Amino acid sequence: MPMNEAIRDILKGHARLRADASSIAEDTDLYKAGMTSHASVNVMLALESRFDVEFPDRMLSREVFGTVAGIRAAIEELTAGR
Amino acid sequence: MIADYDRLANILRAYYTARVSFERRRHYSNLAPLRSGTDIVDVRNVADSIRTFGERYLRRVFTRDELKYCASIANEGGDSVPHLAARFAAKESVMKVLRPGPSDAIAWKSIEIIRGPSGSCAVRLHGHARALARRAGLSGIAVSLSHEQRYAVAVAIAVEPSSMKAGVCDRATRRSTCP
Repeated sequence: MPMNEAIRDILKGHARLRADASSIAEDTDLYKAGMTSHASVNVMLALESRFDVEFPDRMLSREVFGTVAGIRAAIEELTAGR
Repeated sequence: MIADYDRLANILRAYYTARVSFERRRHYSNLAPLRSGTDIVDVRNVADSIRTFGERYLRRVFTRDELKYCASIANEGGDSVPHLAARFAAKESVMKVLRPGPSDAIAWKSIEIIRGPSGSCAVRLHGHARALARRAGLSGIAVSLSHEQRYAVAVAIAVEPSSMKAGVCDRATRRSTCP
């Protein structure tokens, strides 16, 4: 499954968005789309399981978890060289 | 459930009344302005996260001492989940007081809610959260937590030093520009 699709799949299951996560744009603000800070914890933990990574503290920002593009960039950084 | 909403509405009403009252007093007494943050958490969402992610969720969000306190509630036969939810709400309310920018990374554990002997709660900051508070000149953050079976709420308040500094600057400017 392509990375963006996998991310959207996790958002659909954990982010509690008002909009359909499968059609959400890469740069849509997920917090404005309804993701609460508590839901973002679930999104982070689900992403870690799915991609076998651990987000370091330096990545726990709205810039990273606020958009599909931000999440993808962070996962790409964490999985680089595999 | 309606009773829960009524209680929540009463808590929020009391908070806003207190805030308005304080702001009015500030207007007349020239006190420093406040930073405030509030958050509400559905206790069932915390229970769901514990069910889904277990220890990973708990260890990622809560400090050892926070977990120790909540475990003591469970050991005494109580339900620890509303206490965990209240602590999460408190962390988020403190986050709103700190006002991080989009690139500021704040780990949930860097905002720790500690419980004093009297039962009141206080905030202990670590890492970047502590740095943000220092940068803003916040000398301390007060926090209050409350929960029912369904919802947990928290309010955090800090005093900004900006107006006091502005006053000092104004006086300094006046001294330097007026003979």
